[in-house]
Amino acid sequence: MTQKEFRNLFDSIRCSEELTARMEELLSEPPEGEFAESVSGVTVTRKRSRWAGYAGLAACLLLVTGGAVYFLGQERIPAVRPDPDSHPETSVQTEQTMLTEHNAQNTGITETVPETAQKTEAETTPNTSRTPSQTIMETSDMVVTETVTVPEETSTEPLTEYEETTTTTTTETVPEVPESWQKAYLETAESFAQNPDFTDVNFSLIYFDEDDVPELAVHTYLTTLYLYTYDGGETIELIDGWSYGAMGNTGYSYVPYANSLQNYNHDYAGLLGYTSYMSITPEKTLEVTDVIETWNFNDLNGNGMPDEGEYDNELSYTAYYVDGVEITAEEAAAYAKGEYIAIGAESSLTLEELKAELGLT
Amino acid sequence: MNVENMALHAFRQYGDQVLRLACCYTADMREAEEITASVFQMLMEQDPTEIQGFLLQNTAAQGRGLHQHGVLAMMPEDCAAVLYLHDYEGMEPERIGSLLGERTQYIIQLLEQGRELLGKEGSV
Repeated sequence: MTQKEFRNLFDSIRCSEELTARMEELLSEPPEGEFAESVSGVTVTRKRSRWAGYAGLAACLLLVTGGAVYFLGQERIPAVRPDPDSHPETSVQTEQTMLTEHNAQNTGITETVPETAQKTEAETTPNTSRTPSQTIMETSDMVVTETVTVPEETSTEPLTEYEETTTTTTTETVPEVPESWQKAYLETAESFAQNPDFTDVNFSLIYFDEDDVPELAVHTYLTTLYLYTYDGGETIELIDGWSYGAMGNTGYSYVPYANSLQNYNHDYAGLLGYTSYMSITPEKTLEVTDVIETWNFNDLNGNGMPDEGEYDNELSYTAYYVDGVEITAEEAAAYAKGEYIAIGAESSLTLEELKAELGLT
Repeated sequence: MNVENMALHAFRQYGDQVLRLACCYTADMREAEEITASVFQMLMEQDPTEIQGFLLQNTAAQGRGLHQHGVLAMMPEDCAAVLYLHDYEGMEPERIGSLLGERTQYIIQLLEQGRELLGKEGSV
């Protein structure tokens, strides 16, 4: 079997229209299982940790300053811990900071230290539905307030089996939120570097969209791409392991600060090409904006694929189509936003080099 | 991207690849389509970190042990898959080894055996 025959064999194996339709239907259905219903209709307000951080810092300063002034004016503050179970029937979180006094040995100096970083979430669960609203508040040495809002759900079904109202108390640990895009990207990069499933991992920082915060590109196995952007204090995945370098997919390129990603893919040994353009939406997802088909064969029988006798002159025949409408070469070229650079072509960094680039060494 | 959209997106991206790999084990389109459907359903339920690896690993796992036809029956298990992943997809033996759970040296050995068999038999 020649190399060409080998390629032709696999070129001919494609998902049929029947299978594609079946899978589209199957994979469009919501996941089955006990949690499928419990997450529907829930809106999570995205946390804005930067402002939360500022607010926390201000609150911290206020507490420390106020506490110091108050302490100097008073002889002693008795530490009183309110009973966290004092309001079991409502959705209440207890926020408490205890001040503990440590007398330094024989110096007479008294130090005030915030002792607790505890959070108690009391959740009242009527029947099996969620509490209409929840507020999680946490205090620690740095005061951080996070609010999760769950829209009110009204059950129209009468209570049958569970007439009793139950109260559940849980304690959560909120992970520390990185203070900057640099730290957030480093966390993401480290998760790749530490994952034994990935090999040949390298990184690059690219200015993909219009702002001055770069995007983090991660290459694994030298043929798979991940892309992340930073927004609202967190990294957001734009590309989740797209392959390139095989099956006619030549890879992904961008124009700096133009919010334009280009990908070229081809079938039939280049006789039918696809140039796709993608951009980041305001909702921080990557969206395909345009696909240009380049036909390097003359489709005499109109079946949409090259047949024998239709590509003898492939070098002299080229047509461009967008959404089935033929366009000129100039119109096709106008979709490009500038000179495209392969992601990772300018710099390919190891984790240590990335740390240095992020200024986190 | 939610799970079902992720799975759908993955099917559009990797559907042909999974089907081709399944064919390497079954040499039967109907069986290969069943494996493909099953693997993407698993993806929908499990939401793994490395999607392509997950799909190909599970395709190989489901394809192994099935009745094979033609020259595939004369090949060691995984041999056709290794030929496909290496010669068609352009994957390195290290990557193929990590997908199939085999040592790189064994993958290289399968490649050599497969090429020899194909040369003798002429077609798959």
